[in-house]
Amino acid sequence: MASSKKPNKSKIELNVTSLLDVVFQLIIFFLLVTNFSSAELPEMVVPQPVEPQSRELRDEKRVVVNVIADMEHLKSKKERANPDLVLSAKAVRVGNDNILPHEYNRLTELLEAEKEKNPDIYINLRADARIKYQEVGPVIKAITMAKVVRVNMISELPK
Amino acid sequence: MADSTRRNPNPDDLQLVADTDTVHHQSIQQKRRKSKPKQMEELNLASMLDVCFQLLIFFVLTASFAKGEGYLPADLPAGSGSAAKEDTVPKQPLHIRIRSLGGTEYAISAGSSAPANFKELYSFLHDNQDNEAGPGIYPPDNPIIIHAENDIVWGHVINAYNAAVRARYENVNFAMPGK
Repeated sequence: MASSKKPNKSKIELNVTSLLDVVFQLIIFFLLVTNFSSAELPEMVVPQPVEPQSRELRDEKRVVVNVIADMEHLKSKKERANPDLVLSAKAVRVGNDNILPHEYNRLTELLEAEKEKNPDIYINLRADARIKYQEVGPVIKAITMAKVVRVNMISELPK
Repeated sequence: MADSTRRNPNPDDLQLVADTDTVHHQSIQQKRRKSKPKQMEELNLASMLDVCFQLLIFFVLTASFAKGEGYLPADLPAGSGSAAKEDTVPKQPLHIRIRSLGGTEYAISAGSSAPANFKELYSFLHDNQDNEAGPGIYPPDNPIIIHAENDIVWGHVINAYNAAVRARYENVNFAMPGK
C-alpha cells in the first residue's frame, strides 16, 4: 500500500548572520575612511611641492579661503584630475559664500568682519595648484587688505 | 511463552544491557518529546542584509581617499593695509624668477643661477646659505622675493616657496603677479 503521507518538506535556509557581520565591518570601515566633501573644503588638486615642508593642519581660529578652478568645460573626472592643466579661477569660496573674481572687495570685508570677531585669526589659503598665479595674486592682495597677517598656504603633506 | 521470557530473563542478555549504558525504558511523554524537532526562534536577516549591501555599495562608490593636506606658514605685511611695495624690502634681496614656457613648463632663475627644476633651486639656496661647510652668501634672514609670470601656475609658486623654506630662509616674499 502506497503511503498517503507527503514526504517531510525541509526548508533549506542560508545562515546569513556571519555574512551580515562581515558586511557591517566593511560598512564601518568605509564610513570611517570616506572623506565627505564639505562646503568648506571643496575637492581640488592642491600643490605637491618637492620634499614638502608642510605641517599638520590645526583647526582652531582659522578661515579657509578656497580658490576654485573653472572646470566647467571638463566633463570627466579623469580630465578634471589632470595635473598638467592651466586653469582660471572661477570663484573664491569662504564657508558657503561664493565670491566672484570681480568682487574681491567683498572678500576683504568678510575677512575684516572675521578678524573683528577674533583678532588672532589666521587664514588657510587653499588654491588649486593649476590656477594661474595672476588669479591667485589678487586673492592674496585682498587678504592683505583685510590686515590678516598670518596666512597658511595649503599643500600636500610629506609622504 | 513470551511472558515467561519476561519473567525469567536470560542473565547473558541483562549483562549486555548493562554494558551498553543506555536507557531502555522511556515513558510515552518522553517519546513524544523526542519525536518532535525543537522549533528554534530565528530572525529573518535577509532584508537587513539587502539594506546593508545597499549601504556598502554606496560607500564603495563614493569613497574618495583624500591625500593629506598640510600648510606652509607665511606672514603677510601688516599695518599699511596694502601689499608690500618694492621699496620696503632691503637692498640685497635674492630674486627668484619663474618664467612660463607655455602650459605648465617653466624656467627658473635665482640670482645669477638658472636651476633646471625646484630640486636644483633648493640645492642652490641651500649651498649659498650658512650651512655645515661655513657661512654662505645669503644669511637665513636674507630676503627672498619670488617673482612669477602671470601664466605660471600656483603649484610652481608654492614649490619655489617650499624650496626657500626648506633651505631655512626666514624672509620669503611674493611679488605681485607679473612684477
